[in-house]
Amino acid sequence: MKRRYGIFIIVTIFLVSGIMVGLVNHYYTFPYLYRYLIKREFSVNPKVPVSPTRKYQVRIWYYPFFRNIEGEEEKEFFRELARNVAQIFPNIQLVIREISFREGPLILKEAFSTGEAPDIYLNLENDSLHDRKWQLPLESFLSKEELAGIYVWEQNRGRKGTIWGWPVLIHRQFWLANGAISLPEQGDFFERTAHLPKESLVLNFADPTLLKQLLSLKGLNKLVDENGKLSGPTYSKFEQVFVWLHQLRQKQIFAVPSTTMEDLFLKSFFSEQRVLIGPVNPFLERFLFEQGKAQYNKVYLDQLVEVYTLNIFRQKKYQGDDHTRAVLEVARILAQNHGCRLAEELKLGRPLTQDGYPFPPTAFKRMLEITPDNREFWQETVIPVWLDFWQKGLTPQEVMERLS
Amino acid sequence: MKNNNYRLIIYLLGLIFLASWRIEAILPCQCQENRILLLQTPRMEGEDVFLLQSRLKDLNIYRGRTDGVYDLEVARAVAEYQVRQQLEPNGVVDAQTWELLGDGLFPVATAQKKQPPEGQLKIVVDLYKRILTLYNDGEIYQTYPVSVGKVSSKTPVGEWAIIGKSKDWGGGFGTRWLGLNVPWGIFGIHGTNKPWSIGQAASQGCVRMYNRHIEQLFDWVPVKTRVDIIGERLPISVNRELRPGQSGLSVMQLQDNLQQQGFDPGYRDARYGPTTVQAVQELESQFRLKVDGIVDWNVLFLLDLPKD
Repeated sequence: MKRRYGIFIIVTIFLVSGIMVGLVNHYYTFPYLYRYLIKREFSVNPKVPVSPTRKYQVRIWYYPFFRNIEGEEEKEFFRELARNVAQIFPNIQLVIREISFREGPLILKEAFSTGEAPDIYLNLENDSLHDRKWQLPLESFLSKEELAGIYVWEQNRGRKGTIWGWPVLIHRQFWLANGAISLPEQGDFFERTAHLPKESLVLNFADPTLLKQLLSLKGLNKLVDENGKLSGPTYSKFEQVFVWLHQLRQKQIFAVPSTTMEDLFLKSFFSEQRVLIGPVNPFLERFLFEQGKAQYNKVYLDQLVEVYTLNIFRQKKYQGDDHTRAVLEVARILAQNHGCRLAEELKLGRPLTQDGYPFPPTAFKRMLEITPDNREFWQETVIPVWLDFWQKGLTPQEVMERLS
Repeated sequence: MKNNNYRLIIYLLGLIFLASWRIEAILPCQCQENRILLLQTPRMEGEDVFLLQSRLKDLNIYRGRTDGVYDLEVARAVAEYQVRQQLEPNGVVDAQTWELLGDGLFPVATAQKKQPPEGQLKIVVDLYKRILTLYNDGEIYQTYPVSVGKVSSKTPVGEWAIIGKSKDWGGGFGTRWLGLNVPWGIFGIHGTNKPWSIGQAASQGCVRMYNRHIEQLFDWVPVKTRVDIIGERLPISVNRELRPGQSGLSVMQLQDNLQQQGFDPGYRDARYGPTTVQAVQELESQFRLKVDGIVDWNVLFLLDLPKD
């Protein structure tokens, strides 16, 4: 009798616990509860739905990707987005702001300092993490289908597996030749470019993407160690890149004086001389191909890609988990329904598993990201040395002394 | 002695030539006082004779060719006109005859009497329609017929501003003068003593108005009022670096091309000022080039400025 009573109690406890867990799980997620209750840090409950009775404003900042006189195409792009959002969520209003390429990063930085960042930031840079305090991780908002449908999630994960941006566009990295250029089609990029003839290469070193490309091709995926310094392997990869560039300089592979090469970047490309130029960003790619020269040849940088993401931020005056959910729903519609229009305009790929690629999507390698933890080191130390390497003709030894 | 005289004459002629060239260089608008026209050998020729012939034809006094040559037939027509006007019929078109030829002898579009506008003013000169429109807070407030530059001396298309007002220029400039900030010469909106030229492409680049119209406009518009001149401008090739602080047609072309590609250079006033610098920097940032606001060869190519 006693034993039966005991079993009954145990079963009841299990049942009640199950019901409790089910109930809790219905309204919350355990990672949320852990962060909120145990770690006592800011966290968003992803189970909170959009309230049908509340009016929401979702602020989107974007760079002028269409770039025409009246900006009419961009206006139409966002009008259509607003229409699509309104069909599902009539209580969500979009507030759109264009920011300039010249001031955009600075405006965003100022917005972080005042806690007034936008809800959605259409990011046309490869770096997906801007601010650890105000930026919201996305992994808890994504469905299994979404995780399966976009193949760069894994490459997009940051420290502790956090996903900081919703991938919308993918830009496979290449340099561009203005005619036939005889390079081996297979093999490591550095080995292939060893075959470049004299006076055939022009690099725009004013674009730091170039250094990121070369470091990534050497296998670097993390800039500094936990102490904010170059670790052994990282140091070695930096050194290899600078030695390679110095050798090119000594072998006179560059078509123009390397000290002013960035100024003559396009002039060389449009001259009679056969040259390979790099890096080529999406806007430059679009411009060059609109020139209509069929003989342009892409030299791919192995499987290196830049991924452009939607980033979600919260503000100092937090508007609630339901507002965050509303922001996520707008981001979802923007990424899923309008990503193809962006890709079409910018002549870029979409990071969708269903889209065909010449090799498995998992083979793509995301370019080195600069994060808030190492941004200062990158901008204050690496970039000045990088520029001096070109403009003042530093040797690799001098570069490495300054970097360490 | 004779040789010395020749030298002196040659020297004086040289001075006159240099002086006239200098005036030409700094005063593209040659809407000065009319010269006196008369029958002489060789025949006097020019734009003013052409305008005189046109005017006399309008008055049904002259039936000859409008070829810009002051011949006997023109002199006869002038004498006939002078008789009508109770002047001495000498066939010489002097200041008084010029004045009478224009003033009040034919219908002039009168400026309606209106209260001075109180909003934000802007002038738009349409070179195609040869009409000047005054906007008050974006609304059309008044329109005036104007005369604009000839094919050989076009009115400068661009976004200018009034930088000076004057009542004292006189002669071919009429009763009022509104100077524009065109960097390559002296251009303005002014009155005229050839009112029959209004509605035609007849000026040396300035915008001519009836005197009563310019007097009204003069009282209304302050210095710094924006003046947009709309018209055709043939594109030019730019094959050199451009830097902040420069001005001229190359900078105007830069501003045109920046605007066509969606970058805002500010007013298209042919001056490489701060807003144009910002537009160039925006382009440089978008294409990830060196951001220095200088139009180097990268920017020249991206804006399609070199044509050869």
